[in-house]
Amino acid sequence: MIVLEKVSKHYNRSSGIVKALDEIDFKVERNEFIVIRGPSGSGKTTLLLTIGGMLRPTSGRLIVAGMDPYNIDNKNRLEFRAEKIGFVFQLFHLIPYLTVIENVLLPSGSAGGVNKGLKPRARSLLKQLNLDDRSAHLPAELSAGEKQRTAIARAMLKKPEIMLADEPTGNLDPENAAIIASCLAEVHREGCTVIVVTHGQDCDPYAERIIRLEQGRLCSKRE
Amino acid sequence: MTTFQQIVREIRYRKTNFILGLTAILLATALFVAFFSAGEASKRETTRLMRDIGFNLRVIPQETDMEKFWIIGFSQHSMPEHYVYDLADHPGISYNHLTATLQKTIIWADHEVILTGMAPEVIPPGKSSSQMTFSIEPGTVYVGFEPARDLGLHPGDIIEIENHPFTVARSLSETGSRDDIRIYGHLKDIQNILDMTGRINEIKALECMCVGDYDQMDSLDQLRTQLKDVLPGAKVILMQSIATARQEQRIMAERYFSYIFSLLLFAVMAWIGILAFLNVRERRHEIGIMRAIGYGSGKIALLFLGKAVVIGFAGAALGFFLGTALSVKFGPQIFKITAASIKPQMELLLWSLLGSPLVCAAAVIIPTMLGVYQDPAVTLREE
Repeated sequence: MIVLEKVSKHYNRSSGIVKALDEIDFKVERNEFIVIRGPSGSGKTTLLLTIGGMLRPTSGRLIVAGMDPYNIDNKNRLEFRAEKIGFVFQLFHLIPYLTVIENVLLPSGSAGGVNKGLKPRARSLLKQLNLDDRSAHLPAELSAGEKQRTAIARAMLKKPEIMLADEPTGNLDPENAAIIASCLAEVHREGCTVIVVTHGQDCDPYAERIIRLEQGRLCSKRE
Repeated sequence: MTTFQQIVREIRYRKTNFILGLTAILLATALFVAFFSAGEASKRETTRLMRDIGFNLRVIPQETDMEKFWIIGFSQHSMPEHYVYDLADHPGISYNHLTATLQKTIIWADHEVILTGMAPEVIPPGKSSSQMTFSIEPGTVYVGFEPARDLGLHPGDIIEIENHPFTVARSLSETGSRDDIRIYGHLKDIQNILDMTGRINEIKALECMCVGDYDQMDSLDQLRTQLKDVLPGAKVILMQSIATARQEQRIMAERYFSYIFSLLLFAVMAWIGILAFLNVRERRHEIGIMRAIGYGSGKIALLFLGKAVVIGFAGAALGFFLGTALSVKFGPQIFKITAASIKPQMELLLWSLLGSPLVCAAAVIIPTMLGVYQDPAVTLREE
């Protein structure tokens, strides 16, 4: 499903070159649930954004869902992200002036054309994530846990093959963190490949592999 | 959800940003509309003034050499004195003042002077206009500053010009012009001195116009044609009129306004640009997540350009009504003659609806591009 061969990402800083990813070799099978853990600045988010077609690597080869997202034109890369990838971020990144249901439906107008048939799926996702009574609310009226569940529903709308979650429980209390972790597990059960980068251990019970990343290198794996 | 719906939602959510932008374009549009609504009235008023005030004319002998005329200031030829009465009596021409003069340079008491004979002013019957020139009694003269000073002349002194005695009625103060070397006398006296009885070489006709309703240029042509019939041995030179001065003042005001308006437009564009920049900055995570879930640059740019166009349209419509209201309310106090004709000009609404959205869209292009091309990988990593 995901293959990284000697993938590096370097940043030029005034202090010199920072190796965020340093020749990483990494494979993920279809429908795996993987947790990537590491200290701040270890390159976790860089790895996630690189896999998601958001951050071109400096070198190396990358195949995600059967294609190299950096070897296609912009339009196809947009479609790749719209159709294959679902993103969840620590800060939720909900659009503040849209209601919960409108935020969930946001991907319906993205690359690949407007998909009007997604409204029933959005409602079903909200029901599944216990948000059906919040669908007309603005993000400012939601708790942190509800915001993150809304973000997960948005990521799930187009049934992506891969879910990439960057510190999805980082802003949540333990109770909500556990709920979000179980939501991601549910996403995984539905057939989605899930990669979570996190400091916490909320997702560990559901992970099939836990990978440790330090200074841009994969340094240990637990099966 | 359509892009337009999303724009409207964002506007409703961030009202302050919208209101600040709207206010700027509204005021600029209102100023534009008010100026041009009133400006049209100003144009009409100038036209009316020019038509009603008429022309200030110099009527001189037909055979006058104009080069010499402009060098020495008067014609060296003469025409019949009755021209002034022919002009005054013509039913097709109205006037406010007519003055016949005879001027000639002579050497007097070792001084070169311009002997100037002035007929009593002809004023239309029934009008009590104030005198525009001297009214000189026969047998008296007004002596210009230079000869009066050099010869030490004072009122009451008796002088002799070409063997004709005259009493100095006034010695004139300095004007800094050709008038300082003139000696003014009654026309009949000067005609006698110069042996030119019944002759003059200029008629000044103030506020002269044709009777009837003509446009400005038609009116001048018509006047010249009529004068040619009445005064066949004369030609007409147009002096700058009050209305012309007013027209020049208006043109200057328009030019001045165009500078001010350009500056204002620049300030408004800068203001809207800054607001758009702040809006883009506030929405950078929104842009980032939209890029992450597959929105292209075009759709994202449309959110910002579309918002600018909405502000432009709203500002244009409200600005048109405000500007029109201002010109209708205050215009009549400024342009009294054409007050009734100050009314809404719908073509300005069209120009406003076309121009304001374009101005707003142009103002937000740079902030929009900055927003569209910001790296979502950077903004989405911000904590």
